[in-house]
Amino acid sequence: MICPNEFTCALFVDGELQEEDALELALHLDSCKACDSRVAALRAENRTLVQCLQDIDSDMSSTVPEFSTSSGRSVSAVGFALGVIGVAIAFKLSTALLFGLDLPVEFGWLNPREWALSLGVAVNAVFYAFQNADAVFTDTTQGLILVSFSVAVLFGMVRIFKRGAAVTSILGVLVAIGCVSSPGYAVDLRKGPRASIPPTDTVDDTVLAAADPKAQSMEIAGTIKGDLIAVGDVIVISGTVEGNVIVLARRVEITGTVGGSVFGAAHTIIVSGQVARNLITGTDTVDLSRNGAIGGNVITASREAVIDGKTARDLISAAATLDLRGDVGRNVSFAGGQVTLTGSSRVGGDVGARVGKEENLRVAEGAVIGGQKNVHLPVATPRSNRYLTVSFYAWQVVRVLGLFVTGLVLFKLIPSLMPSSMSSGSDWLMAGAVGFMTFVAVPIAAIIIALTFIGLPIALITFVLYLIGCYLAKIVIAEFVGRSVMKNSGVVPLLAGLVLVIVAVNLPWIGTLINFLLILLGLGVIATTVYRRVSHRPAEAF
Amino acid sequence: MVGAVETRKQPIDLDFEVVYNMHYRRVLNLCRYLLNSPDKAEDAAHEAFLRAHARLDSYNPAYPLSTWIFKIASNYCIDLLRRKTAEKRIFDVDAGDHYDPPSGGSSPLSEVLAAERGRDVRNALGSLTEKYRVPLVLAYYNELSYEEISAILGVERSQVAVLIFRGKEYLRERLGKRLGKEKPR
Repeated sequence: MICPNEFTCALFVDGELQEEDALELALHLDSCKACDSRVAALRAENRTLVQCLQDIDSDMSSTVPEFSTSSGRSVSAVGFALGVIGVAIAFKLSTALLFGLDLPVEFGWLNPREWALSLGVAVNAVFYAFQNADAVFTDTTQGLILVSFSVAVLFGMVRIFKRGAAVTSILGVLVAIGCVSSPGYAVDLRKGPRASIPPTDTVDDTVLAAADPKAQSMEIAGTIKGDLIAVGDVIVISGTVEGNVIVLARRVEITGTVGGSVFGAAHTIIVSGQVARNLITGTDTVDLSRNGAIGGNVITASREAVIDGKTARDLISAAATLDLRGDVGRNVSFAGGQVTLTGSSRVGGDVGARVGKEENLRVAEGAVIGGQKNVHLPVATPRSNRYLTVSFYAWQVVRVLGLFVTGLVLFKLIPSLMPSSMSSGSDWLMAGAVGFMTFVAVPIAAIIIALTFIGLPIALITFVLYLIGCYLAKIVIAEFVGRSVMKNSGVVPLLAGLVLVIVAVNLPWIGTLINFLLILLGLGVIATTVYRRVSHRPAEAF
Repeated sequence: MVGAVETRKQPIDLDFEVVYNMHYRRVLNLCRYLLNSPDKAEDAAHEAFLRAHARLDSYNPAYPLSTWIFKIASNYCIDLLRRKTAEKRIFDVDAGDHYDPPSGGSSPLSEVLAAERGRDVRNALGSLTEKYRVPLVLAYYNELSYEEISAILGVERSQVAVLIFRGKEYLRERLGKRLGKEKPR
């Protein structure tokens, strides 16, 4: 036998060589002094290594902490509970403080108390969401799709190429950008005096404009080929915007032409120009002047709405008063105080009014309604405090029991869903972030999959799983809360956790927010567990 | 952790407090070696005992209880290490790890160790990346076989052999450098 290399010797010393090879080597050692001494040295090395590493076991100076079956993280659990409530209160307080402070005059319109109907940005957002699923949907979800797609590509590449995170991140982002980006417009950021665009100017990009605080108004007199996103005190659009207009201002005047839709949150919006698609506003006063024309729908939430111009499609309005003087191509839907159709008004379809009294829908002589006139009066059911009804509590008990039984089955089937490894705030933050991504990305992914005919069943399954995930999320968190509070795990802590969670989500004022946060955290834990199960063999499988 | 929601039968004559007190230090030390962080090690040791407590019914009394608990602790720590990096395959052997004939540059540790103390070896071990540190700890602190290590790390037995061999080479290099610096003094 020729002398074995060091690797083989090391295997021999570790007792990891095949039996016949080991035997052969042992015989060789009898005849080769060099190899024998090498093996002896390696053996001594192993002994030394074992001795050095195990040396610390002889140190008995440290005390053994008392064993407790609690997760040992009751502090962080309490911290977590306080954190959830704290975030909810901080959110509420900060918004109250923000809007209660004396803001600079150009931000005065942000104060919801100045809005007669206190409709605010939330209503605007709701209208965004419920708008026809065409261009608006595309615009508002494009960013989310990009982010979700990037993450999906990232995970995919991690799985496929098994490269380091940094390399994969770069590749993933490049692929996502490459797939999603189209030859669209770049972004032109304009601030201060540059924000106004003179009549002679043409900007080929999407414009992000913030007005000069010292200037009285910002005027877009030129042409913008992309979208316009503008913030300021007074914004006048007298030129042409070929894309959409998104404005946040005290006063907005549109006398020019807009090729897309107008989304506006402002105190006053006056449109006397042409808007090719929709006009969607959350305002105190919206005024579509006689010369104004909207190619799509008008959707407005405001104190006062005056529609004198032409609306090609529907008019949907929530307002204290609506004066309709112009033409509406299709239906008029109104909810609020009072609606008046003057003699000059023309409605192609139905007029539906959700008003307090029959006489609050006034139709003047000469007004033309192509379809039917419907008045929806409020159903006379006394609004009782839900907390004072027996059915509320009965329902909550049923809810807890339902969650409890589901929880028993869930943890029996998938015990690893118990968030026992949430050792620090950063873990919870991570769970929240993952939960948020899941909460946003899954429905979008389902919609994208549904766009292909074959993908429809998959999309439906995904969506059902998503809803199940949202339901289970609270159970996962409740189990953790119960275990931390009772410092024990079992049936009773799970029930206790569920009771606490259900009480928390039913709290007036902040319950909804707590509910939302708990769903995010729970979804995060579930998503992480599922990902780990899919991505690699769990280390604790034995 | 199914125990959270069901009544379990516990092995007779097993006082977990005693088991805990007996093995805590050793589990803590194992976690320290694996995680290279005293703070994280304490949490991990606690978690390992919690898991052991919750899964007592899956313990096979034919094997030593200590081995079973160390295995839980090792698995938990390796899970933590995997979670720390986006790269899950941290113990994969790559091109640079394949065995090539010895250059003769490094001598067995025993020669180097003659003048070294255990603490220096532990420090040198701590300076290794987890890729090499973990197999070494499992092999020479936990005294597991290559087969057992390969099962825990989820890599081939031959890869374990290469990782340990390379790990020891790096350890020699680090200790050798330190010695080289100290010699002139």
